[in-house]
Amino acid sequence: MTSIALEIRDVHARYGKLEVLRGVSLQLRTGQWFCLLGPNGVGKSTLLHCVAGRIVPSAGDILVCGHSVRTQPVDAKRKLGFGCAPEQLPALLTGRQCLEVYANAKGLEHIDPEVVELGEALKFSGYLDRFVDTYSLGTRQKLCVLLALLGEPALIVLDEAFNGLDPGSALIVKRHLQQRLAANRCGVLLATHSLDIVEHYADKAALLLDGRIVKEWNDSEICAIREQGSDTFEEALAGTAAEFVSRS
Amino acid sequence: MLRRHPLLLAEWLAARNLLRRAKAHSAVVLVASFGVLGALAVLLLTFAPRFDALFNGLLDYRVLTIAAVAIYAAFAVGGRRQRAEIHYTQFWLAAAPVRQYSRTLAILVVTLLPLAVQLLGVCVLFAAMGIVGNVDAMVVGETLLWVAAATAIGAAVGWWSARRSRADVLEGSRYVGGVKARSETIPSTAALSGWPLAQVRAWGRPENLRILVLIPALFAVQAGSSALHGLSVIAIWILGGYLGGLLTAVSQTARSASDWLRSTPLPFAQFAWALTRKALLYQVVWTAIAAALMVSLGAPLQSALYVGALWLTIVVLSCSIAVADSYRSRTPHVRMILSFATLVVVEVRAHGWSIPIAALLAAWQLRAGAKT
Repeated sequence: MTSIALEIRDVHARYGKLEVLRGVSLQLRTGQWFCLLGPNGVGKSTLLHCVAGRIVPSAGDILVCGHSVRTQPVDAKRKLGFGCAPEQLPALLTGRQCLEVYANAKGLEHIDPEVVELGEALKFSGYLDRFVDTYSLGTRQKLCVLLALLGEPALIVLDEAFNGLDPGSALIVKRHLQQRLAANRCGVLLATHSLDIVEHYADKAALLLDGRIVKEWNDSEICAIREQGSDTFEEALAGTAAEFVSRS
Repeated sequence: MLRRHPLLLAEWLAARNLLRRAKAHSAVVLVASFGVLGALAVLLLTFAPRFDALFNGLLDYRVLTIAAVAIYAAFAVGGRRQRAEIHYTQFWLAAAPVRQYSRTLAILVVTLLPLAVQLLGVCVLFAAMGIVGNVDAMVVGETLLWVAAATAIGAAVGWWSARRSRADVLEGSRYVGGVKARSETIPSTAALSGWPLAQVRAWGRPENLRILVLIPALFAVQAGSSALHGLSVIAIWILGGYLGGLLTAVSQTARSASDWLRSTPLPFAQFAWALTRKALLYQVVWTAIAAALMVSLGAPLQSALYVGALWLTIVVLSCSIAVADSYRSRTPHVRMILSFATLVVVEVRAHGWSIPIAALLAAWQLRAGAKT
């Protein structure tokens, strides 16, 4: 049986006078990999930050496993694994200290062995006792992913998490996420520009334009696009965007 | 003219856009400005009877005044020049064909402008103090002249003495000291409590520490004191610098830590305690040592204890405001200015009462944070 990992209900968000999200609604079930697509500056990261409770929406509500981010933030955050931006990691802590503090913040009694194993697979173990400000972008990104996976989150939210990762490490992370999804342990919400991930891993995708979701693709539509061959998704995306622009 | 200097043009456009953006929050800016001006007015009126003595004191000890202002200007300009040099090597226009003369001009403006603004602020403040305190205009004018001259000399020395340092491009953690490699990872907030301490060490680069040593060295010489006295003054100064740095570090790391941990269910009390406990312990221990040094320099025990208690009060209040506001994603500056203005007024009106008032304010801040 699958449950709803994330429900976004008519969310509006603004920075000062600028309204970035204008009524976004979407639903993500446990076991689903949801890709959020869209050009730069349309509000993908803003939406993700709303889910993480970093930005308070001006209207609407967000439920993580049934807990409102607005009224039950602590319960919602217990179920959430958020991959922060690499530049937000604390420069003067070591990777191990970051894991320890984050695990403690999530109320864990021990670090999940699975996360430790993933760290080893990503060849991150050698960096554990080094300071974060000595890390390369890819190494920081690995740490962000590991932090997001701590504490068996029912919803994993990642913002361009594969940027800077070498292809081998990116594949390891993708397979790890797939394993979790296959076991119905979580749902994954990923903001990305990588259409390859959408075609090969996503169960659902949505195109965000001008602060609204203008098109959604379900599993069967993505499968159909995959079977039609390369460039098809790119063309579908460009076509939808062009249609939206001409309509508006 | 700006069109011929792309770096300056970029800086000017950025500053103009910042002002335009501030216009969108004009109500907040207005309230904050009036709040600060109001607090300043209250302070001026409260201390008005003491201004005459203050100006005369500054003139009586003019060598010390000039030395202090000049050293401040020298290090402010020197540090800012170094940062500007590095900033422009990593600037988005770094690969553009900008002439060396234009680049130097941009560095000069960026380096000197903040000091010029500060000097202007001091001029306005001194003028206001002179008017409110009914101080002789000649005395105020002479003090201003010395301050301006010292600033100019210090700025010139700072500009010429500053060399481009490669140290600034190195990671801050280089100055923190190594961390022992461990074999296991256990959930704990212990690292969080060490973060402000690590931040102070990261700021303690050799070129920054020079400032801490040079100023008291000059003061000690001016005072004509013994070697022991001189060393004690230097020790107190260094301690003061460290404690001030630690206080600033708590504020800065609170903001970074809350940005990083906002997506976790970490409760406020745990966050605040984890982040500040070591810093507060260090503050208590080193303040006690500073108080002991003050007594050894001849200060009455009661005064030393009072200064120590007052400092710890400031620390607790600052930390409470910084941590609570960071956790609530708010900017602490206006609240801090208003709180400290209140404390100063209370302290002047009723000696010693600022301590319980500060404790109340701190408790109020922590309660607000816990309610978030």
